[in-house]
Amino acid sequence: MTTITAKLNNEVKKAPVKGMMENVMQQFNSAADHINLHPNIRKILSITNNEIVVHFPVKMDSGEVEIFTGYRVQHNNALGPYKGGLRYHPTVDIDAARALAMWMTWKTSLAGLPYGGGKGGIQLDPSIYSEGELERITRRFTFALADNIGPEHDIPAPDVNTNSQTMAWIADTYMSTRPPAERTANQHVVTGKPDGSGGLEGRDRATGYGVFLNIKFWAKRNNETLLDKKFIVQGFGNVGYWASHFLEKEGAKLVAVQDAFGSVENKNGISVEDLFNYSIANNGSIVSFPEATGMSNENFYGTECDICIPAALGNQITESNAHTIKAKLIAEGANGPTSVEGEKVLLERGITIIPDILCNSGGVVGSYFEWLQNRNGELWQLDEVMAKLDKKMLESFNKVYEYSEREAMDLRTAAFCIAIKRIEKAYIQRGIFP
Amino acid sequence: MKSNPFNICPTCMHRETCVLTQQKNQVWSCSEYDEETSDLKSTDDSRATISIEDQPEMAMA
Repeated sequence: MTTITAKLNNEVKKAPVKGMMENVMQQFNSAADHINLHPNIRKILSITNNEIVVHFPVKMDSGEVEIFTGYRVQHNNALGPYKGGLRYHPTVDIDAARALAMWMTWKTSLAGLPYGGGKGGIQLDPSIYSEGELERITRRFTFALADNIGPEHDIPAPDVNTNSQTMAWIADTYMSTRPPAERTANQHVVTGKPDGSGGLEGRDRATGYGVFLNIKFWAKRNNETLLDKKFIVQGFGNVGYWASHFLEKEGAKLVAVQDAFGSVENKNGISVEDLFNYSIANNGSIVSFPEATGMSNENFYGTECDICIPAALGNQITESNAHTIKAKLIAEGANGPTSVEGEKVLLERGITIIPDILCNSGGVVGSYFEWLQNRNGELWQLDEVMAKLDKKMLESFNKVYEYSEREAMDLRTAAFCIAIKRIEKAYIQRGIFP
Repeated sequence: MKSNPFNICPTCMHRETCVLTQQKNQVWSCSEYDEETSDLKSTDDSRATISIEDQPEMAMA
């Protein structure tokens, strides 16, 4: 256990927490033990390949020049170019980026993509800058990173406080720094671009659709259908909404939802589209939806249902509420929603967990499709994208499910074992230079 | 490697009223995250700035 320090309202609060880096390392070491990972490869994967820190000046609207600090951590590229998001946030630093970069290495490996893992960002609070300033900050950061990113080297994507516009600025700046004849061949330096600038049709629904597919594949493996299955969703953002949308189309029934404002339930079912339209009209909140009743926030996870989708944030299913869960399947739409202790309780109770690294990987697969589309000079239609996503997600699910059956282990451990084994294989085949 | 100090709750506009978690000190990803926006730019003096009169812009990276 270590101590984190975060500035809150000008006061420094300290809280002992189990950091994300420890969680990632614990999961890695546990899987590495299971597969008897070679000690040399364990050494390589325990550290990051490159850590880039850049300080760069940007002219503000006032005419003053401000200095910013940006980061990019490149964890491992044994399987292909580094891939991972860029965050704009006051607490971004090398430590934060390290854990997230390592996480991306496992995620891209499990998804069977030709990528490694990276992460980065700029230490700033975007809310205090104008649109023009954010554009100049982004462009100058891209210039500062220079050849540390590239379409065949390190491919950033949107993350906290960055979006398709940010990616479009990065792509434009990066392409502008190339020789004229090479410019258009570098559009895939980032993914998550707007659909008019090389972005992918359907990128908005890729993660939620992937969550839905994993649930569907699990049901099929267990000789069940989704018809009339009751499900609950925490978080009605992009992932929660689209997962609910596709589940409802398959005949499942949404019976409870929780967002940042509160919780609602209806045992007879809540119309996903009606709730979505209501939340838009209600400043993003689902509270007081007329076709449902309010419920206690504390009892949300104890709602009677078949499937539970935590799609908001981490550490939601813990030792204290895992015993109240009625669902027999947890589909982790969010990153890290189940604590180690909570998972132990769930597994003892025979509840299946589709782990985040598998369940929410539709997003990074969507990014891969965008990269391929740009690289090959193609434009894919929505139905093509969805069909390719179906195929890719099924491959990943089958690998994990069959490995877990064969080795008599839970799906999370199986997922980590597969991810690490794939990287190990690359190192064994290639050897270590020189 | 050290633990991760990244936490997005302090800059989220829902931080005071959010019902999703009581542990608002270790959230590194959240579907409900909304950045607080303000009409006026902060005049935080702690930001590292160089007056344009003092020093011309230079390439640092």
